[in-house]
Amino acid sequence: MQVDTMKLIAGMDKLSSVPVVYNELDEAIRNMRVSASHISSIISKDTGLTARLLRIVNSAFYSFPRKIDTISRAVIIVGTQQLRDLALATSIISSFKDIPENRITVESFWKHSIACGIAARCIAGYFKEPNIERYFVAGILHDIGRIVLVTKAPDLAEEIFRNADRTGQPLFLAERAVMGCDHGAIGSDLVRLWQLPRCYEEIIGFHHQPNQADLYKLETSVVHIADVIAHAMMLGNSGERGVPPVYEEAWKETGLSVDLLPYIMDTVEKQYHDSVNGFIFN
Amino acid sequence: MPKLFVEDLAPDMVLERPITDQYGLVLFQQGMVLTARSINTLRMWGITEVCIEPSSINDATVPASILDPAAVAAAQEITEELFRNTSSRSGPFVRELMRHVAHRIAKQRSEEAAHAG
Repeated sequence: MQVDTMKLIAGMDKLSSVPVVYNELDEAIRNMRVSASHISSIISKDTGLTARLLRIVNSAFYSFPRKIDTISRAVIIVGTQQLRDLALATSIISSFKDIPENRITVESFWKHSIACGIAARCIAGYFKEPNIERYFVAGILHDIGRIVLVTKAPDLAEEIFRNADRTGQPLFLAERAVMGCDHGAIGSDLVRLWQLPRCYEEIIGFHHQPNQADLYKLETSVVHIADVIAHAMMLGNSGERGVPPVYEEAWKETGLSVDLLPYIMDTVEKQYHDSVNGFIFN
Repeated sequence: MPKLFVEDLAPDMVLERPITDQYGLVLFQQGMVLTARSINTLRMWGITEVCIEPSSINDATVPASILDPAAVAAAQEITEELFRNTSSRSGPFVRELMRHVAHRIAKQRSEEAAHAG
């Protein structure tokens, strides 16, 4: 059976304010003469978003020495692109609060995604990536296709979970066996529908086989590794039992030494609880 | 017979058992006093756990890191199960990650056991 992923995601472009806020901010940022106060005014229109962003920039996620109490200060200190990406991450999380919780709870799903996002931005920080929040967003989005699946096709999702229970195979392989594609492909189509940058399509689509990524091989490899670390540390759960198959080459792609692993895991551990509070519970 | 992870070793600890390589060749003898340098060497050889003479463990330097052998065994088993979809011989990244995951679980379990006891 080949499932039509476009049918699954139909209507999801109107579902939330996810693309709207992001695209408005993105357009403003592309206009080089834009001021911090203009960016702040776009964000401040949404009071919920404003409150969430302030909570996040004041959490262990950043560990700034002094409290940031306005969005305009946050824009200056955190950066415009970074704040745009954090706004995207928090909008996505708050847009998907209601999913059928037969197999995965919404809380454990986002916890896993947040842990993956923290690991990805931490790894990106080691190779001096100027905007590490892009990696955080990719971590938040990597399993979004599974939310689509359990929400739009609950019976199909249940069949896949049962097959995985019976055979013991990883969930994404059970998805491929039943649907002809996995949650990565569904998520990839969804972010294309949202008109998010091309890199997210590729990262999400190939996070279980980073060797097949083309233009964004490094980014895809980082998110693959981050997903593995989040599963290995058993932080949250997106339905998969255990660590999905690991591509050793993905680590080589980052060019980092394995000696950094304990530091990356420590960072994830330190930032995890505070970030979960900032992003989920509001 | 406390078994310590290499990360938790400190200078002046005494080896309770000889350290051997995979062929059984003795690398460090029983009773040897560890130094910062020899601990580094252990790490380079890829040795992960070492048996240390209990009397040589200074409570001030490593109070909480003596791992309960039952917790270490359980952590090993949980880690193997977690990574069942990946061959443990696949490469340095997987090996290192599994080692750190096992260490983390063993530490958590030891702490829980200490609290319960």
